[in-house]
Amino acid sequence: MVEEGLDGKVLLRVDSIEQVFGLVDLLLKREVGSVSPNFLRLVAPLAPSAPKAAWSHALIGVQKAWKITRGAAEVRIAVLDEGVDTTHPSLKAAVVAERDFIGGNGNSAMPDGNDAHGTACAGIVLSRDQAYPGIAPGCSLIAARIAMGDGTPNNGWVFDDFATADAIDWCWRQDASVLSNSWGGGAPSDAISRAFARARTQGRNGRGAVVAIAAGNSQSPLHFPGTLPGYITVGASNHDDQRKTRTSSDGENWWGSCFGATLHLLAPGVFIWTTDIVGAAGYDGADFTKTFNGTSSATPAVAAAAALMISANPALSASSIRDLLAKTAKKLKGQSTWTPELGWGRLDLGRAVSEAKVAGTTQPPPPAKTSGKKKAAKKAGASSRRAKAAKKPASR
Amino acid sequence: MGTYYYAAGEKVEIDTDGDHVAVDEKVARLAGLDPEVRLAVGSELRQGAGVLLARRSALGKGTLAKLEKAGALQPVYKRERSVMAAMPEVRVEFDDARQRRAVLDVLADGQAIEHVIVEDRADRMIIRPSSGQGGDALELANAIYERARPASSSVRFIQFVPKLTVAP
Repeated sequence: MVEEGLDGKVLLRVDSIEQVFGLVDLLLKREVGSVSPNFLRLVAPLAPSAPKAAWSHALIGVQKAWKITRGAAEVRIAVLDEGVDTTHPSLKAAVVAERDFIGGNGNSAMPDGNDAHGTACAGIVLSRDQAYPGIAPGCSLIAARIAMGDGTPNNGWVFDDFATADAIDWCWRQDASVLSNSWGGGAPSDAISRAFARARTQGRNGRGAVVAIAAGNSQSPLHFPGTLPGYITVGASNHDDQRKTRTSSDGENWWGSCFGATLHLLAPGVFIWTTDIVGAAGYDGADFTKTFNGTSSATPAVAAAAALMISANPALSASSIRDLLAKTAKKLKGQSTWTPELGWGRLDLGRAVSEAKVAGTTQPPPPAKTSGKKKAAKKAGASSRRAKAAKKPASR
Repeated sequence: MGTYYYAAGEKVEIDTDGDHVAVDEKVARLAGLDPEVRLAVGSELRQGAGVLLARRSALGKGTLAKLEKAGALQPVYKRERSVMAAMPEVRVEFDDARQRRAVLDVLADGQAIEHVIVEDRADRMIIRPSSGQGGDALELANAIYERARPASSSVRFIQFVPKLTVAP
């Protein structure tokens, strides 16, 4: 006997492993309360540890985009979520408008308790921290609180369909150029669908506000509002440029990106570095987190991309931005065209912003060679055909 | 077909959720009943947007009767992962003046559920059933859509859904 502990526990040692199970059998026959070998357990970690930098920025080409723009202050991005900690030092200066549509807090979009989801989404878009940077830190933030935790340990969400619709209308009327929507999963609502349609057609003085919507994380067919056609429904990818599934290489085997006819593109959605609620509340004890994930994290990346594209070229329409995101997306391994699982591919921010900057600009006509009317007419015909080809929609 | 509502011009089927009751928090508070609900349900109470969502089995028959009498109970439905409380409000939207006239005709013809128009604009109308019942609002919204075909006719649903957050 090596040690006698409290409550009748006794630690025994034998000379070899072989003797262990024999001793266990013997003691069980003597009807002791319980007896068990002392196993040393080697347990695999639940998931790989978080990367040491904001890896997704390097993958999607943030530095390349930033050579063109880090975002214009007049370009406003609305984050519709369970509230945003608008006092966060990395977000506060960007906030131009905030409102609570569900909790009765008036002109404050502050979240309750541990409701950190919206703060994390906002940080992906425009955190001004050096170590945890957002993608469009020069842009401005509109925070609209449309959901709240339901108060249970499982902490589901509560939405009010009409309040959500009112929030969408408020955002585009507040001159939001982009609406980032990392929420969904409820039953469809015409009030919400029609508000999105108004944002897309009437926002930005008729050029249309860009609407990005999360695909969902159940690796199943898309949920409302991600099912709505004509918007930018965003799925998730990982650091190996794979679609995020339960078996993709990231180790997060408890979720996968949803799929379907309206999926537009993917963006990074695991181990995302971003802002957390200030203080102990939220995902992390600190003011930032390194493990935000889901299509919730992919969606604000695409919203930020759209904001940089508008910053680079304010004349672009919402539909042009949608087409450019599709056209410039990086095809994943084995992908040749749009698919319901991958959309048009993974967000390539550097290319998207570069192409946005020159999109719609007319090339000066080549100097006319005075070799006769026939040749000039032939050239005009060719230009016309090129123009028609350019008008063909690039995406679904 | 069972219970339904309209979205994008299609019927969306919903199931009655007999396991839950939705309590209008404001009405319950005015009747002095919200502490009783909170005490009975405890930490399982789901709440937000002015609604307390409780398991029917957690509330005694006496409490349910008092809530019913106070008009604090609203119907609960479910669809896929969502639990939905129907509140006594209908929002109708119009694309043109003809649609608005058609809705006014339906509301005036005497067959519509007794109601009050609380907002009337060129592009939308908000209507409440006089009974204060979400079930009547759902019936009214469907009748308006089926008979007048406005751009949309929706009942106010408070939806309880799982968060998009993904934790192991």
